[in-house]
Amino acid sequence: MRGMSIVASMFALATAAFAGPYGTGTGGGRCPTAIGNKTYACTATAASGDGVSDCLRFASGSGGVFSAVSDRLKSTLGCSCNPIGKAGQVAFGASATFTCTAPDGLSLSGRVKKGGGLAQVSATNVAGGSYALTCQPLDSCSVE
Amino acid sequence: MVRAMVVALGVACAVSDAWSGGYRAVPMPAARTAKACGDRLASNSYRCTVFPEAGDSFTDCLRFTTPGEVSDKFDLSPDQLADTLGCTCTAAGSAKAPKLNAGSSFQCTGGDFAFSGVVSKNGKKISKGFVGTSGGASFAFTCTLDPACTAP
Repeated sequence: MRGMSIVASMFALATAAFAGPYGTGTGGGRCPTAIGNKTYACTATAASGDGVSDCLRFASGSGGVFSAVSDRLKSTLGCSCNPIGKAGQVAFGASATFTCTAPDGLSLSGRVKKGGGLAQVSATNVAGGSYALTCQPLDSCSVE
Repeated sequence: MVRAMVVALGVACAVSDAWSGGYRAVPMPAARTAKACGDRLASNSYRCTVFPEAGDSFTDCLRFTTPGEVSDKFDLSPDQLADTLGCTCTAAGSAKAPKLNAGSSFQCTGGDFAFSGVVSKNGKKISKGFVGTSGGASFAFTCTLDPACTAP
């Protein structure tokens, strides 16, 4: 029940009425092959100290696109790896850090380690809620 | 050396305060602490150059508001997006003992967009700016403080 309330709070909604020059993309984005199609068992801890388990399922599509599905959120997040370089010399999709964004204003970010593990994973929502996640790669995962 | 002295002084003050029954004859100087990103961003406006993954760069004004209305921490309104996003600071500390909303990086979300970046200690620059979208589009940006910023 507590877990559901945390997840519900992560679902704060917002609507982008006008995106201007910020195109939302069409499912693009690239990522290190290390994250591949891995599944991670995660524990998300809120500022209150309450924790909830979740499964994050990453999927790589054609052309290097990738996405993540959260079992708790039951929604798909579009992902991209952060760029590196200086202004005017930006290399997109070249960093080991990634950001995944859901249409309802939830953002998930983290760093892919060389072995495929995740570090520094955090989630934020539009209401300013933040969660720290610890994740372990597993062949199978199910939420409690 | 200085850092060690500040830490030692902070510990000494804490111990003194704890064991003095609340009576303190001499005020202790405050120990130096790192500001979280929200304190640095305050209600500043920044002129930013945004680099799309595909296409030409463009200018935008990022306007932060503290306290926020969308987020209970602070908000971000990019002129070119015409929307207000809710923000928080990223976590500091370790994986075992995270300190939420205490980092020098910000994360703002709303609709299909997530804006993130690192704000300098004096709040005058934003580096490593990144916009990710739910469709997987990517933008990089850098910003400088500009209270009079106007987007074209």
